[in-house]
Amino acid sequence: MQSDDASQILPRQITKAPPWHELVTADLFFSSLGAGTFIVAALCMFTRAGLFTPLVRVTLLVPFPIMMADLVCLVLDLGDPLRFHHMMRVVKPRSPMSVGVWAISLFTVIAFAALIVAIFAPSETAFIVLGAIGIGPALLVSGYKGVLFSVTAEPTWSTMRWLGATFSVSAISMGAALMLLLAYAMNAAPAAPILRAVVLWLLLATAILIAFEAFAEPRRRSVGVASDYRQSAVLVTYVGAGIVTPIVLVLLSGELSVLDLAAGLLVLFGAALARDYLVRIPRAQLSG
Amino acid sequence: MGILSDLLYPFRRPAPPAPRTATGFFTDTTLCIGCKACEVACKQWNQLPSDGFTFTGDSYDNTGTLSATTWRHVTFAEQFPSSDAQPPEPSITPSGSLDIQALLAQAQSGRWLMMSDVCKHCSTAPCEIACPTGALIVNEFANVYLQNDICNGCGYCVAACPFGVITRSEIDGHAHKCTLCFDRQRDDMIPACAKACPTGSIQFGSIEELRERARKRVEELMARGVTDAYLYGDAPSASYSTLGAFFLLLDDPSRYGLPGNPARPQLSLAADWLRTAVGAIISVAIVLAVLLTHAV
Repeated sequence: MQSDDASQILPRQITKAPPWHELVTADLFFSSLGAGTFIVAALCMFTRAGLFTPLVRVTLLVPFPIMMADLVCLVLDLGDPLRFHHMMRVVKPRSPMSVGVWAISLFTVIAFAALIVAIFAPSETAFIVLGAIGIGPALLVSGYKGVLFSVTAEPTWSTMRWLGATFSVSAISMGAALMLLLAYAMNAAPAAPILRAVVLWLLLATAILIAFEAFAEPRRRSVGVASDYRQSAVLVTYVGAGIVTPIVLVLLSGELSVLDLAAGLLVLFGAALARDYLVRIPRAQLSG
Repeated sequence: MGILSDLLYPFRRPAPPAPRTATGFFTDTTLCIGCKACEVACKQWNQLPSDGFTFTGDSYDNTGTLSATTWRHVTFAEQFPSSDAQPPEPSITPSGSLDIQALLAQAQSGRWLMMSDVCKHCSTAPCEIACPTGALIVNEFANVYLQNDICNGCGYCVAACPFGVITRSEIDGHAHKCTLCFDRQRDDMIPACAKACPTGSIQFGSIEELRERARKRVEELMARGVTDAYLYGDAPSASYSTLGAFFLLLDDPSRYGLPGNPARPQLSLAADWLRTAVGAIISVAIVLAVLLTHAV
């Protein structure tokens, strides 16, 4: 007998939402910011060392504290924080979380070295060497979280094939935004136009990837998540405040001004919102 | 010394035991009567706490779902034409007694589908692959076993399981699921649920023997006119491995709370890493292009 039955006594969604909340959002934010900042600083040193050395010296003070904040979030998010070191028992290339933990550990050590060099022995050569050593792990840290989410059984995350790429582009745009903020704080006017242009192009690339993710065939179920009121509000706010407005601001900005400050802050605010949106998707689907 | 010992303990790796006969469950849902003896036996043997007592309104299912504290869950699906349908009047013989033959001849107006759900002990288990601590392993019986003293409660296995089996406990913060009664198996005992099942719906044994037995059972049911009978998880699909706990079903898998076409998440791993690398390269190229071309 095939079922044309009236009643069905089953849950709507078979998979379970992982127990990930605000601490995971913070972890996503900090790891992206730390890695993205290092990447942009390294690329600046590779190409325009003469112009960027003073700014990079200050910038390299930032990734290590950010990664330590990230580490605190990673540890506290565990069900048993005292067992964080169990992550180091194995190296599993097929587990994005295992790859990510090792990448973060390696990058944090390099960020610490960058901090020490920036304080005690700053030089163009040292910054370039540090950048060359650290850019690989930093790029891995910037993108692995996307793979971690997409390689799951969760109905929406598992359809987001370009999530890792989106994370990577977003992380580097965050790094450029943070450097723009530091340029504003240091009144480093010559560096600002370049950083503005980097922010602009990376935001455009992020927007293209998000649009592609949302509308590519087969139509992503992530779009359906926007039927949840809170998620819809977060998504609209992210696109409006985190992408469109900063693009307008950097286009309007001529001299180093408060517009740069606002653009940088909004990029970071939007990035935090986007990560919060992503982390909440499975729970929104269960409750929706 | 105690702290040092605690820190180093997880890194000790004793030699794994020699493989033994691969075991599993065959759950014949046509025999399940929904008594929940399996749920009780599992709770009792594994000393799992109560989940509270809530009337869900879902047929006779007040358990709800598999969880860190419920490793067996009997699902109930009521299949009747409509909630208003009345059963036919029973046939009465001239002598005033119930006419059993006439009753048996009546067309079936509805049915219940009942199934004792459990961890599937997948041959290639996404949870085991995802686990970053190595807490989830494949043991000597080819069952997917979670080492409770290693798990740190990261929750990645929860997101990796396409069957919604494994869950993190709010009591101790670790993930938990069916162990296929590893402790009992090592003592040559059968799992508590299979031992308690009064109808033989839950069958335990060598996985190869169970598959053979299950195929014969399907043939037997077909011969008796139960043409909807089929096996779920006894053979690999294009996107998923065989299941160490497989089922004989009578309807679409979704009617039992099972995914129709489960996919192993790691199938897209290499391609997703490649796309991530493309994204990273594009980002770096954008930054370099701006840095190299922008005049100050």
